[in-house]
Amino acid sequence: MDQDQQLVRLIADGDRDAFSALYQRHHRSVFAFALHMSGDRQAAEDVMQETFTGLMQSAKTYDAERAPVLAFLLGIARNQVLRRLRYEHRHLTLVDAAIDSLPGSESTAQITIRNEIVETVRKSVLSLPTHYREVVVLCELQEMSYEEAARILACPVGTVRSRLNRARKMLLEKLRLIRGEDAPEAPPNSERCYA
Amino acid sequence: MRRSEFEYHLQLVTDPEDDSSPNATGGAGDARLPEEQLLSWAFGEIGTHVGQIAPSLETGQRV
Repeated sequence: MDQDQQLVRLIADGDRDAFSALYQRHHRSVFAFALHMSGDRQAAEDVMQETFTGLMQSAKTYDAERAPVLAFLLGIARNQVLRRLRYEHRHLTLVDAAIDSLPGSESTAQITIRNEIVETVRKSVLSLPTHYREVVVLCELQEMSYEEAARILACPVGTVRSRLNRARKMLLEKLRLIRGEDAPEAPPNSERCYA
Repeated sequence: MRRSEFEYHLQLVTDPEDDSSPNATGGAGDARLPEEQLLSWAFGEIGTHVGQIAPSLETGQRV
């Protein structure tokens, strides 16, 4: 039994310190998953909160044989995200949730093009159908293995692989639209953030 | 930002027919299509950036 599993066992017995310790270990991964999937910071915070609240209620049912604790948590987070997407009927949008301009030594034009590319990919990921988006988020943005993603999504590894392959092709099609285009002019204010 | 890396990807995007590009000369040692390399680069940028964003302290306290 690893440390996470020991913590979940303690949480099931009502140990608040164990809950706090597990939260500190994994809340960023849960938050990042929800943010990637929703593109909305407030929604991601809500999902993170609901996920850990859900953990308190379901710790007794956790089966270490089936999945590592992080996969269990991301499975809860996934259900919360999907519920929200269904409820709010929004597949993508959230175009205000843009990536910050990162500091660098490039020229303004380079920064603009770089941000344009990253933004295009980010929005393209958000525009993917949910079952494609989640494999991109898990395997590409959160760098999980196919096996880990398969546990979280409760599907065969081959399904993860084929969905990721299809999702990459869809994203490549969108990226090809960028090629050959002139660099866009710098916006008056390129400071953008998740808000 | 890793400037040389970005400039390399930028060149792939903006000068796809340039015979002197790193891809054409094999300098990068990467046989993938330029768009595939660009996509992987963008994934890295997005993943790194979002990974640095923390939820608010208020949410943490509520949890």
